[in-house]
Amino acid sequence: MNVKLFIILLILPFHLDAQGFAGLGQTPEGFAQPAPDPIFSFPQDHGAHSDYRIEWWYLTANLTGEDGLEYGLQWTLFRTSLAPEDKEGWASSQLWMGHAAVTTPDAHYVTERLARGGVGQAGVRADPFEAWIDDWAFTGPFDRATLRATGPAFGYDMTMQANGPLVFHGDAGYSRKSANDQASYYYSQPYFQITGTLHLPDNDVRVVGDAWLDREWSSQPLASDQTGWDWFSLSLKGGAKLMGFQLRGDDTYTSATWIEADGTTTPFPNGAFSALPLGVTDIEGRKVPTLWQVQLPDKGIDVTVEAVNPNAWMETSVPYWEGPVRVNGSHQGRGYLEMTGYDGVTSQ
Amino acid sequence: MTRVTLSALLSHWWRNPLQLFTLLAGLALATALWSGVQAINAEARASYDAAAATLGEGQFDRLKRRDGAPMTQDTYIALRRAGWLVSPVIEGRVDGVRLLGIEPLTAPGGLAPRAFGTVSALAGFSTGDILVAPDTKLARARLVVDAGIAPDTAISDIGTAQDILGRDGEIDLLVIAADQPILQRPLSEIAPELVRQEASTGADIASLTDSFHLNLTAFGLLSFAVGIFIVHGAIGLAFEQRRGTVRTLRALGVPLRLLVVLMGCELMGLAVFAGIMGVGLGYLIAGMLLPDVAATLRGLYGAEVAGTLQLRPIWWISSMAIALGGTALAASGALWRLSRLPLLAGAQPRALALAAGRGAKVQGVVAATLLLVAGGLALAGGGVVAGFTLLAALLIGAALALPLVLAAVLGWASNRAQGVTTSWFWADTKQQLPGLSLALMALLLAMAANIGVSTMVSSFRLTFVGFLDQRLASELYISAETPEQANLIETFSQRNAEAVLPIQKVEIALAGIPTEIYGNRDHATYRDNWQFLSATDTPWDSMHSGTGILINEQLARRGGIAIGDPLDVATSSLKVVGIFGDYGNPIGQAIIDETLFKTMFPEGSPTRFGVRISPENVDDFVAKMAAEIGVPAANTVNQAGIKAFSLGVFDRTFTVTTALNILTLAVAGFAILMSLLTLTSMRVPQLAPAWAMGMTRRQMGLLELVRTVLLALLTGAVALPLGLALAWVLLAVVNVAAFGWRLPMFLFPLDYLWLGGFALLAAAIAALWPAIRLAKTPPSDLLKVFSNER
Amino acid sequence: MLLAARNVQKKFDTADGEFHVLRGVDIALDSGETLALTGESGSGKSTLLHLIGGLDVPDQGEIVIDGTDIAALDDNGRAAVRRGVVGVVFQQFNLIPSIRIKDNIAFQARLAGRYDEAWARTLAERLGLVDQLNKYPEQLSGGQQQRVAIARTLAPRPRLVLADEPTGNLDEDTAATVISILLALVDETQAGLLMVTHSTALAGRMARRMHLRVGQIA
Repeated sequence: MNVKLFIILLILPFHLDAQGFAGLGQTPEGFAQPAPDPIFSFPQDHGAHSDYRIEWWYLTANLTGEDGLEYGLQWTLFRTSLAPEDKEGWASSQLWMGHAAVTTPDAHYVTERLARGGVGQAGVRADPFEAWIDDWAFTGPFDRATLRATGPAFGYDMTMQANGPLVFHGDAGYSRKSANDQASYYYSQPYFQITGTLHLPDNDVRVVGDAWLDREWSSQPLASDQTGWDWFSLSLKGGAKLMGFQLRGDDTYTSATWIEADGTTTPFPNGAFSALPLGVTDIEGRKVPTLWQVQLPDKGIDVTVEAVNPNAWMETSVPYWEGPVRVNGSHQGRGYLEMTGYDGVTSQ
Repeated sequence: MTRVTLSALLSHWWRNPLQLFTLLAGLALATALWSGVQAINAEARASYDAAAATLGEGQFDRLKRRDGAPMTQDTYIALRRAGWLVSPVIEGRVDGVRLLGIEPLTAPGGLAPRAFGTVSALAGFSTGDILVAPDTKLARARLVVDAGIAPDTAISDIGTAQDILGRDGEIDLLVIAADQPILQRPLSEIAPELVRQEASTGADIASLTDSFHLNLTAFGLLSFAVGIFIVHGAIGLAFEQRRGTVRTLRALGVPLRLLVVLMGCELMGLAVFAGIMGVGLGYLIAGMLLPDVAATLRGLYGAEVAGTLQLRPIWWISSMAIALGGTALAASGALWRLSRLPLLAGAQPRALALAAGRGAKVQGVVAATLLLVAGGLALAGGGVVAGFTLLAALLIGAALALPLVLAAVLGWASNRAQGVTTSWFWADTKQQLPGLSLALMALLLAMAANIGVSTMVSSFRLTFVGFLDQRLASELYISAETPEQANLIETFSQRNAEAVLPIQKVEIALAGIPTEIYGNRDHATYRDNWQFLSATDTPWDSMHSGTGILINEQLARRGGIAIGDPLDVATSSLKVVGIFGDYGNPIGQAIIDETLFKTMFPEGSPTRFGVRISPENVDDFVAKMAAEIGVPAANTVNQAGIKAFSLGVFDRTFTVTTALNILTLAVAGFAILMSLLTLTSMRVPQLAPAWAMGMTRRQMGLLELVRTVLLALLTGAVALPLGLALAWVLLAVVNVAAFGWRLPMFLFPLDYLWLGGFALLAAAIAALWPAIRLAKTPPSDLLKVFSNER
Repeated sequence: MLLAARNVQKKFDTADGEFHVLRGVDIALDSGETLALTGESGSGKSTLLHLIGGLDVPDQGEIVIDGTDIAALDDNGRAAVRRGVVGVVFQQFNLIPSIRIKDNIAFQARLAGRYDEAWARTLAERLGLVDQLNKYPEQLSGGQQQRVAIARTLAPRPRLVLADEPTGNLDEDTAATVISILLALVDETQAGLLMVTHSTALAGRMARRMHLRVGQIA
């Protein structure tokens, strides 16, 4: 999912200079590049690929509390590399960023962490698996993991169990993003069952639900005309799942993967998937579409996607929207929605 | 009409350039005095702010090892992984520049320099850029100039700093971010060797240097008051001299409103011009004094202040505001009187101040009220604000009371005078008083300020030097780099010197107040040299018996602790047996017996030693120690050197104080000159009868001089008690409120005599020229008085 | 009628109580007419002149100059009358010390916006001031200063000229010369002239004479 390349470059707390600098210019020289027909090797590929510029471990979960309410949870670890070669200690070129959030129907808690690589403050180890930044950790074994994050206002302690296979997007994990051969390596584990405790300001809540992990790494830069993206990961009743996104730009580019209950995947090229905003929410002057019509005619999908909490705004270094959604229409279900490029405050 | 009127008004200045000069010079000098003091203050403050912003001092709590040693990077990672949002800092010195290593991603906002707005800035920083203030002399590659950095400070990535300092894997302290996550593991589980220091403590430079700043701020306020008086006098002069012209213009049909507007604009124009000159002059003054101020602050407190001046908007704007505001204030009164001036009043100039004589009663009531308020505040008030209110009430009250006091004295003298000349002299002097009173008030404030500030600085010096004698009783001080080296030093010193006194301390909280607690060895050095503010009969015996504790004044005042009170230290309760003065220290200090100290704080070990040895053997001792146990001379401090350095610091303080003293007196002298010049025109008719009755012009000129000096002398007599009261307020009220310690006040009669001499000299110089002019008044002018009289 | 004052009253507060200076004075003057106002010291003649010149305000009565009752004007209105309609020659000259003679002469005409260089030149010549034009007032004798004051007053061609003991500070010969020139110039401009004097000789040269005694026309 190339779109998430945007987020790491946008979200890191420093904006690109006009001139750029070695390693983050328009040509990612020196970094390894994704190539077609990848051969993945596990558990190694669950770990970090520091010869690629950018990578993430991106987990979202739809939860139901013992109180019957719907909750959403996010745990994300981003890695970016300032230079192709890595060094020991403080000289390491690796930068890490963590985002954690819990969404309730009427509240949204967000917190952020930053760390340098090389000194042990943050990192990802493949075997035994652990991804961590400070006291936040996604600790393996990969299929039976624990997950933890804390912030000034909230925290959570979760356990997860994978009840299905890994899912590879695009061409067996080689996910094309444009006609220009831009691509990333992209696989998911959408079958986690997750349970645990959300520590909220007023009380602790026991929750249970499904989690979806995205793994992606690449070295590709952004296209200049693209202003943002809308990304959907939907779990439908009956067990099927849909991943779809659109890049908004001069020409909107879409991509999708249909996932059967048994893990069989069907990739769809540009144009097969569509998402149309039906309603916007004003979040402190920003117009954010929080009600969508999503269609994938090839699979008979014509649904509305509605935010559980329209105010799931991520007030992080660079802000974006990320929160749980409900699916209605031709199919029922729930999922997660991520939207970037809506942080411009309009004067209307 | 406007143009014609304006040119008539302005032509006055072309025909009387000297008057224009005195007006501009008066305004410019007042502005310069204010802006000079403000420039020094603003510059020093900006330097502290930069330092505070870089270090996060006063903003964030910190973690340090209890024994003061560096911690390892593993401790830092362990804390982060336990949910502690802390950021590492390493400190050291390179080429005389303080090097700070920080970690930009975890540093709380306000700690990291502002320069990380871009990826390339961060990438550059994390790979070796060193941020420095402009003009920092550091022989390193990749220096990046950033105006937000404190002077003589360099900031780099922690990795870069560890490399430069040769201290891989070490961290000196951790800064604790304000917002911490829920669910943190306790510090004692992860790193029990670390102690948390509250944000307001530690090396909080501001609270130290504020003591010195108080000095300058007081000076600034006083110079402001002096300046306002002078501006007032200068404006009054400008109106007085053109009274006749103004009347003629009105008689010829210039509307009053136009005249008021034009004169207002004209004065504002002059004020802008004079204000700019004054700011320039103030800049020069500050530029000359600042290196001394910077050296003083660095020497006293280790605070880095740039020795060069930048044109900071805050002070030139405030200085221009003083020039314009002071002018507007003075001019509005003068313009108001102008608008009330009857068109047909006598053309004879009439000192504006004479009119003030009618308000003498009101003035007396206001003065008495202000002095009563001051008295009340001195008895009951507390806090810095009350202290400064007290200062203001005291000074303004005294200034307002001055003319009344002088009138009373002159009236008394006039009644007792015998000869004709004498009694004419006294009566005539009394008649001059209203015209001179503004200038005399300025002189009073200038002299009182000088007496007050000199007393404060000198008292500070005397106290501090005595304090140094007490604290630096040993001839030589040695620092140990490691506990092993400490052992070597102690053994070596025991063999080669008369006595060795280990200095060991830990930082803890006593009565909730951050305190450095020392474990002292029982030795005559302490018993002979230390003086207590208050103590039991046998403080040393009680302390060394392990039942008593000695504390500093700061701890006693803040904790409300008195002699005999119990104080909980670690696990035991000790009795306070002595309170000692500890000048300039922002935090508490306490002393217990060495043995007890070792039981209570076993992890601490001495890092410094005082060595008693006869002064002539110091050099041999240092050389032998370097040869035998490898402790370099750089790790030793010669007591004589410290004292010489401290005295040097004070000498520089005196340079600053003396320069400002002289400047204030010069400005006050100028006010007298201007007042006398204003009076000259109205003097002739007053003197003509005396001349006609047989007094020579030379005699009259001499008497004019004597009169001024006499008035200055009388003013000085009022200024002395006022200045001492001012010093008392600064030392015993404001200082205690601001810093928690009281400076003993000493008197310096010889200094006051000198000051009085200077003031009289200034007054005499100011009066000399008008007196000479008077002595040379052509007889025809004096005759005219009779022929012209209607 | 150029000037018509009716029932003009004025009193001052003094240390001895209220002093009634003018107790209902009537006075009339036509263009081209000259009138001498005589009286003892304290008879109120200078006060009357100041009231007519718009320098002060009467307590009662009206002072109509050229159809305008100046007693009813505000400060700005009276200032306009002073610079445009009447001209006053003061006993103390009241020159502006910081500007040159030529600028003093031109001053009031410029204020009134009626500066006529040729006329100013003529006045300077007639008053014998041509050699003094670049000097400052303090460099001139009393008689010369008074000539400057007369030139200044006449430069804007005022309709009404008021003179308050214009020769009080001059010796007899000079006084006679100055008055001759003044009368000639007033005659040429057809202005009205009201002169306060206690000199009977001077009063004799005016067309009409009025005597003021304790605030009333005798």
